[in-house]
Amino acid sequence: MIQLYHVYKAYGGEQHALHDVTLTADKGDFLFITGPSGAGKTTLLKLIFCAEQATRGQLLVDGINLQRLKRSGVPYLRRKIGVVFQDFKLLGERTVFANVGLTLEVTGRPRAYIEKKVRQILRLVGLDAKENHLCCRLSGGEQQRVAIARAVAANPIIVLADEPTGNLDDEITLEILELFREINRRGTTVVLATHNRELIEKVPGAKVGILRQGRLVAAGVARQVMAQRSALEISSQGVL
Amino acid sequence: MRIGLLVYFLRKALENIWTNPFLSLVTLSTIAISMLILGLFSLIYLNVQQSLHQMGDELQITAYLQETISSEQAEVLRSKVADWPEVEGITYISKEQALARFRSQLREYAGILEGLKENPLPASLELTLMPQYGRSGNIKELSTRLGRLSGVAEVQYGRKWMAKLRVFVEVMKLVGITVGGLLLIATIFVISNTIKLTFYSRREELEIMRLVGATDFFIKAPFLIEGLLHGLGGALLAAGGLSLLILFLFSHLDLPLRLAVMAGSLPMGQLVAGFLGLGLLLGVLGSMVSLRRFLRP
Repeated sequence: MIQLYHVYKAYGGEQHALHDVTLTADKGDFLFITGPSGAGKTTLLKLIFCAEQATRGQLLVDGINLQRLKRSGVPYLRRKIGVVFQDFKLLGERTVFANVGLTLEVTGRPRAYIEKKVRQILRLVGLDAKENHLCCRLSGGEQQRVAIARAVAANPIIVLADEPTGNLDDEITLEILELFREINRRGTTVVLATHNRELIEKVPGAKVGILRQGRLVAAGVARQVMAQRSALEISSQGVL
Repeated sequence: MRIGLLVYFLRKALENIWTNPFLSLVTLSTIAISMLILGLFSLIYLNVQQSLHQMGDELQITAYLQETISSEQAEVLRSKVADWPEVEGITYISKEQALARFRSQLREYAGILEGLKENPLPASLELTLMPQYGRSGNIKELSTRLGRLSGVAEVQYGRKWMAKLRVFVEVMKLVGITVGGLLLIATIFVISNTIKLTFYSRREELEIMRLVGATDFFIKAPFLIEGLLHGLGGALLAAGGLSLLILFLFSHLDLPLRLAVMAGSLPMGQLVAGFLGLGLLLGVLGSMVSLRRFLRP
């Protein structure tokens, strides 16, 4: 579903935001991208939904080579990918309904379809009672739910989420994670960037890619990779 | 394109206009005033030019013949000049006919001829010219050629002010094109600025729309329609204003007879259609100027 081969991304100068990253996520995978701040997690997600272009390497999303994708093809690729942004990117002065419906509006769907679909998605994220509320009046957790609802409204095959639980308390974090798991259970590939390791442990069977200063330092099944990392950290502390 | 989508674009365009009603009003007024000025120039130009055409059609040259010339010689002269390609018609007016015409035309002054022993009016040849020749302005050359013929005493073609009028029309045309061109550029700039401001006020939404898969066309379309609506609205206002102005001018002002007569045959339908077409064009151009800049990758 998502394939990255020796991908580099540089923002001018010598320093690479991503350096020789090779990574894959198959259909129905739950993939965590983790690492400290500035490791390149957000950049990686941006490359996948064409907000940025790789400096070098090959990226394939659903069989489409992004390096060869024309500008006119980008919107159609984005319709296959739902994105939950770190800062939500909601229209505060618009209602929950309008925000979620926007994804369907831009594809030119008829109004009746949009109404039906948005209500269905709002039920999924538990916001059906708040469809007419302005987004700016919602709590952080609720806003995150709206962002997730918008991301999945158009039935994407991939959902990308950038630190979706960054500013939320533990209880809400678990609720949001459960939402992503539900989305994943329905067959959607989920790629979730987080620096929260606890989150990774809560999704059995997930894959993980660990980034450090733009390099992929470990990748594989989350449980194994995290166990190896922990062992490494313990041994390095022992050496010290 | 689906009707539903078109309705959606139209609704969005109206929302844009409604978001900044003052700005929209200023834009509409600017377009209307620019087009009104342009319309006035066009009207005056069309009017005067049409008058000139008519005068050209009626243009006449009179060749007065020498006293000594006989009617047979005059007939030879008439048939010679009648063969010239510029000449549409030619009439020989004898001394007696000239006198009779003078008497009938100027009855109140007819008395001044009573005391004269003989008829002082000369015989003449009256030429009407081919319309295209009459308008070409090369009457002077023809009259000189006519004057060189033996038996012709003097040539008159009168209406020297027509030449002045022609110069005036040419100047008008030049000023109209310059002013009109500048006004049209200014109008495009105003529309483009309005679209730019609307775009700025909605930039967050548009950015999100792009991120969730909106095509450039989907983002542009409501702004293009907004520009079109502004252009069309301004054109309608200008057409209405111009019609009112014409009604006012011809009912309250004492215009020269010819211009007043022309008013009845002004191509108002064409002018309004032209206004609407121009308004649409200006609207699209204005929108495209700003959108091209904003939607650059």
